[in-house]
Amino acid sequence: MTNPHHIRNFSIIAHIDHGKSTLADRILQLTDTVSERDMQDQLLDSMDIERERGITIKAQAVRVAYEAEDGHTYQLNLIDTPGHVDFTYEVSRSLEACEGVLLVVDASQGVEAQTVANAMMAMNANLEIIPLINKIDLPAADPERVRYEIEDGLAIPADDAILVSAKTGEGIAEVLEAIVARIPAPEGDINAPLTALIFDSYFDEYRGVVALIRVVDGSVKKGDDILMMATRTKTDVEEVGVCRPANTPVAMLGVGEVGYLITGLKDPALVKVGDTVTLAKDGATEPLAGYRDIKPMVFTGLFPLDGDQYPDLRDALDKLKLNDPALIYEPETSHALGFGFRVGFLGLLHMEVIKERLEREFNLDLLATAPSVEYHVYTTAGTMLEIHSPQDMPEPTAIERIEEPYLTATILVPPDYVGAVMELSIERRGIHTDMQYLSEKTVELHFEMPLAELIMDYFDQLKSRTKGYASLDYDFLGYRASDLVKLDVLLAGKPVDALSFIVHKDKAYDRGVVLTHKLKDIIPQQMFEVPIQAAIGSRILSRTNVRAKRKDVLAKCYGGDVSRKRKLLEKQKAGKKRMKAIGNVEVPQEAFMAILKVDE
Amino acid sequence: MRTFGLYIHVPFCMKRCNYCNFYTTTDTGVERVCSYVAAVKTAIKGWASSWTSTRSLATIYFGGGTPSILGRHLIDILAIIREVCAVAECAEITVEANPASLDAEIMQEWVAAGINRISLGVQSFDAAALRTLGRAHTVEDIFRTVALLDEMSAGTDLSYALDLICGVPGQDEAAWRSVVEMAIACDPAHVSVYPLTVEEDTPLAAAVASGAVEMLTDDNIAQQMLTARALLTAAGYQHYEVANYMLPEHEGQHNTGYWTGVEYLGIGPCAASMFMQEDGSRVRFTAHATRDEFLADPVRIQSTRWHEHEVLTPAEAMREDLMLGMRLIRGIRAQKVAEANVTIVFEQLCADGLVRFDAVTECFVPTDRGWLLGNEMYAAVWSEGI
Repeated sequence: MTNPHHIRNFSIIAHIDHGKSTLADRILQLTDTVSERDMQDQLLDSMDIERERGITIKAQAVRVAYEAEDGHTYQLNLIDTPGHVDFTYEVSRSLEACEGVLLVVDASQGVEAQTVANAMMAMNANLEIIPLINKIDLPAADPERVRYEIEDGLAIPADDAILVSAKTGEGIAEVLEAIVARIPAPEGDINAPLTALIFDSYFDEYRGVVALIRVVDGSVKKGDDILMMATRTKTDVEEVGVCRPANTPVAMLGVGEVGYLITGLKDPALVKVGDTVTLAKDGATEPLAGYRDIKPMVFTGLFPLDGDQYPDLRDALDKLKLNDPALIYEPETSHALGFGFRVGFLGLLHMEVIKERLEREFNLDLLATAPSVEYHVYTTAGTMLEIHSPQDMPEPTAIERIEEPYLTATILVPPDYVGAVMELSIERRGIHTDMQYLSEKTVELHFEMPLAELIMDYFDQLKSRTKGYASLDYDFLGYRASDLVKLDVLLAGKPVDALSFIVHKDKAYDRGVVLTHKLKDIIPQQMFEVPIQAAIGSRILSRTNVRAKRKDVLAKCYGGDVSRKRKLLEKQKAGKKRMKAIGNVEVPQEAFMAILKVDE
Repeated sequence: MRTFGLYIHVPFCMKRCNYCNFYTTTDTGVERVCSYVAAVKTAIKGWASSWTSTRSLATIYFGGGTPSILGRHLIDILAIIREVCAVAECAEITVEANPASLDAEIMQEWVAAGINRISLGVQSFDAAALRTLGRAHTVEDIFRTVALLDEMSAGTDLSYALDLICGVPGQDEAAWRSVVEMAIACDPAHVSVYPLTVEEDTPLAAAVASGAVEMLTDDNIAQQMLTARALLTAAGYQHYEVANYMLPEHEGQHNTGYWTGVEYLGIGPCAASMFMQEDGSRVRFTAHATRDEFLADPVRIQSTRWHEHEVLTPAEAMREDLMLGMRLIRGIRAQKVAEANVTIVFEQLCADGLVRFDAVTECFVPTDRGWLLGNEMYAAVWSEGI
């Protein structure tokens, strides 16, 4: 157990690509935590997807021993947090485990929306913020402008912002000294009953659920009987330890210390992020503040292309859920697509990551339907239904009103693009609430906007209409009543449930027209004509036709052509297998995502 | 005795056409041509014994490239063939030729040597289309050559075939109609009509990719194919294969062999050969990929040295015969379909309107829709239910 005076708990927060993982790598190297031999880039991002996409999905906590200039050896706990808006709650819990943060801002990109959101979160948690201006080795670096943006836009004093290059290592020694000098030591009462915050957890095949904890008061050791206060789960401690970065058991974790805790529990649902660990007997009476049940915001249907893979998909989801309790799913049946699951995600990135992992790590061929949100449908019978899938929407006559989730969207953009952002956001039913200049080069805009509009390629559009300059962050605002209708798509006269979606009444016609034209280009010519219709109830809004294929023949077929062309036919047939036969219409996978691309 | 066909590839052209990705070169220097001819002779001698001991040679086909470039060399090659193979008395001997590459003198010598069929790569009678295709000849060249062939065929068994290309970018229905009408006016014994296809790595593919050339739609091409058939059949030609029309008794025997399971030996780079094994399995192979390979080692008997080859099981060979057989307008005998155990596939094709059963001939025959949507039909026949 280390004297809390010599402990510093900190996190690194940054916009994506501003150099968080590289900085963490440098700190581990400079403190000899990792040998030269074991060093690899983005050491803390252990998943392939994390490394490839440059994002952090799971939190990590690494203990580093650092001998400061004052002669003392300090225990530094680096808590690496997820860096994306989908994982805001996890970030907030990780920050709760710290006393300070390193706020990393790219010296040429400057302050971006996520920088603001994360800095706000750190300020709300009363953390000491040390601004770092990173990538000063780049020719485009403009540290003075960035310093100004930090002070003016974030109201964080930046006089003593440290100029670093995580890539070359310049300034890193100074960062370590600043951590010791400026971040407060943790405070807590070693004699009080144990309270420890669970800020993340993961599943180990052999050990069960491993919780990452920060001890606030008291201490915890092997053999203690403990209680998880929110889930009321009692168990005993099999092991406590710290990550350096390999897991290393220790005798005890005391006030201010960060480490892992293994109980032998196998069910991740019992070990929730944000919960408080105390002793089963004579424990704390009040949990630490801030626990909440996280709820998925975005839902999609996932269907195996090959119906035989349905049990494999279930197994794969079960496995992923062990490390990702935020993932929820229930079986869904579609007339068009067969058996699959309706899966709930924290956001679009979370959805993409999970789909990619299912396909890559579990070898599944999946078809995803367009994402939806959770609608609250108040029926004439006086009940409220939580609707995650358009196909579950009751008949219009049974609906009293529908409410949909709204967000506050924060967008940072250069002044030249304010008009473009306004136009796009208002098209998407956004309500502009305010705007302020963070600097001459950066404007902050706020909109209240339905989540359903945001998940319709809003981010892609934002990026393309601002030449990539805009950055976006959002926060859940609440449910509001909207005039919504279900729009159905009919192929060859038959409604295709997996293509239905919910849309604002005023936009239904336009979306219907665009979608039917889009589908006309996506659905290949078949041997017969395929009418495509968009309809609300029995009212047809628009119609297009995929004309019947008239000619498809290999006219020249002599000698060696025979094998070559036979192989071509086999390839064509394999291509068809990648499509879904709905009735007798072959529908490519991208058709199910077409609704998301209505602005192209 | 079974028969086989002999294909000799001649990879030389005066000019490469915009749409062509065949194996050919425009380097036609004397040395190159002579060394190639020597290798062809060596190859024929090398292969002959294993092929002709059990088969007679029914058709010989000089294809390319532009075989007419070889001139008198063809006569020497034929002499070698006759020396080492049992050539059937009425064997069909075809030479592909370009308009403007023939003269009376060489024609007389060819006819004397037994060449009895010229396949003339006319492609179009529309000057604009010839330019688009990058053909080396003019419309006048065609008429001159046709007049020469008419003269030569009088009193001999020489006949000639014309190849046409439809779906040429920029060509409308009226222009295409007159192309077909002019072809008919030439009175060839045989006409082939191929839709233009965009092959990879050709100037045409590049022009299409850049947007400089816009291909006709499949609907337009289908219409041109129907127009050609209407005009040709009205003029007395029989439509007998996807792309081929003949005056009675003038089908291209060598090519028909490809669709009816006749074995063939291909000589030269990229030329394919096919033979049956005793157990009913089928071997198809290409011995050489390049001219250099061919020159260095013209006879490659050993399968391990072949550039590529495949072996079809007896069941697969039967399926392949059915697939190729459905290219023929006369179709396939129901009994053959039953033997291959795929009657159910054909019944489905009938239900889809691609095939109908002809009670008189007891054959499954392609419908007009099946003709134009052949790939749907061939894919089903080849692999449905496998």
